[in-house]
Amino acid sequence: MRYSLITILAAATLIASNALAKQQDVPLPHPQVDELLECTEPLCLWVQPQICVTDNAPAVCKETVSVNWRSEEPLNTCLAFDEQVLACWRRESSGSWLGELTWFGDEILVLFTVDESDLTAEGEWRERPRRTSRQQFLSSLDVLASTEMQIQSLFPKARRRLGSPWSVF
Amino acid sequence: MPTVYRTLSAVALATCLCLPVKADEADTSFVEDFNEQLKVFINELNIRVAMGYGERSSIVRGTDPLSFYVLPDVSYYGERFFFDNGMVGYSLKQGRRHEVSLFTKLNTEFSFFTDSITGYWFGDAYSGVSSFRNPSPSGGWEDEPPSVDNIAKRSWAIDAGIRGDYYPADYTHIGVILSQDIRNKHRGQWASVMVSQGVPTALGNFNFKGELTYKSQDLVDYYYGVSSRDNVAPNYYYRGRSVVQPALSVHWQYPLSDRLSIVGSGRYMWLGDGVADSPLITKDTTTTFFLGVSYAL
Repeated sequence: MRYSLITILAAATLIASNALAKQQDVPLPHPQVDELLECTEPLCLWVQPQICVTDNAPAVCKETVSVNWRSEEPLNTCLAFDEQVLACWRRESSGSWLGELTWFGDEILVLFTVDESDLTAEGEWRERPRRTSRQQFLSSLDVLASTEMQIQSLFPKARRRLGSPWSVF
Repeated sequence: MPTVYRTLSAVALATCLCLPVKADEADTSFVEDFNEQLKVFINELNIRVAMGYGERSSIVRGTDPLSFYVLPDVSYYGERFFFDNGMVGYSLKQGRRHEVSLFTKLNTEFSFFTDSITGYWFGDAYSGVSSFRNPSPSGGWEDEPPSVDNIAKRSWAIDAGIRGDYYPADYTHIGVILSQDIRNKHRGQWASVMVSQGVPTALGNFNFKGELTYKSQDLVDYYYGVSSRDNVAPNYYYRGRSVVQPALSVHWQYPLSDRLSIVGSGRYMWLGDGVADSPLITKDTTTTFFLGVSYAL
């Protein structure tokens, strides 16, 4: 790993939301990263929010998420969420992405380096052959920084029932 | 038609008991209730009791249909451990849409040999013949076909195995089960594939399920085979064969309040030739139904 001192400064704002109030048509204001936090590491990644609080069950979060990164040197890099590449940057030393994400509590947002040849003329990542699992996908990447999207549920944890109700015979 | 009368009485009673509640709970959300029905909170004991009338048709000669008036629904799920209506298990792998678990449960084949629900739960088979019996004093076998009155007692068994559960979409559940006898009774195996689909409607929540269950020759032969262990003439001897048993079932739940629901269940199963060809068996299909009111404790 090239950047051993990478610090993930996740400005994790707890957003209390419920199932009805989570649809946000108005994008969150772009955070002024430099004003919020000082970055002293070779690479910094900010994700906002990183944790959501939900009062629905089973716990699912659907939020507009703002991602910002900054590096000391220009990078060819892409941002992926749960095996889906969201954005790529060619020879940039900073980048930002704003969009809606849905997570169930164990998804990982990852910033990884790519070869210049992996990017198309439009700056998009050339899709690699599909990996069979998230672990395989992640292990195939040269990860710069990553962060887990978390959920805090106000409800007791629930799981699917395996047996059929009223099944006694 | 006593069955029809009993069923209608159960429904009438249920309706009388529950209509006033329904008026107070007119804004019941079926979809929310349906979600509740499909999931369980961890570390909470869930007990529901349904009262009404249910019946399973008899397939073994000499038994009456199995009637029941109370149906329990008990489950407890921990992070990985679970108990669900007699099935005890431990989940080895849990994903967002799939789960792999080890489990053990009572083999329900025994229930065909009793016509009382207490007999089923307490392992008291109908048959009074506990072991090999000599021919009748007249010197020959009584020429009666095998029935629960003249065959050796079939014991209940405990099975254990592995199951994989997959949830490709909301309300859709696909399950694959492999199981083996661990009580050394039937010494056989069974395997099952099932698909269930929930359908929430304004008329209540429906759940449709299709199953294919393979039962090995050892399992079929232990319960439905007829041999020298039974007190019947040798011309009735029968060696059970493995079967694939298709089954269709529908479950209906009409929520009346947070705790009360009207529930109905129906199940139709084809026994397969390896079972149905046995001289012990009088039918080639079996039906089970229940209609009543459930209360969540």
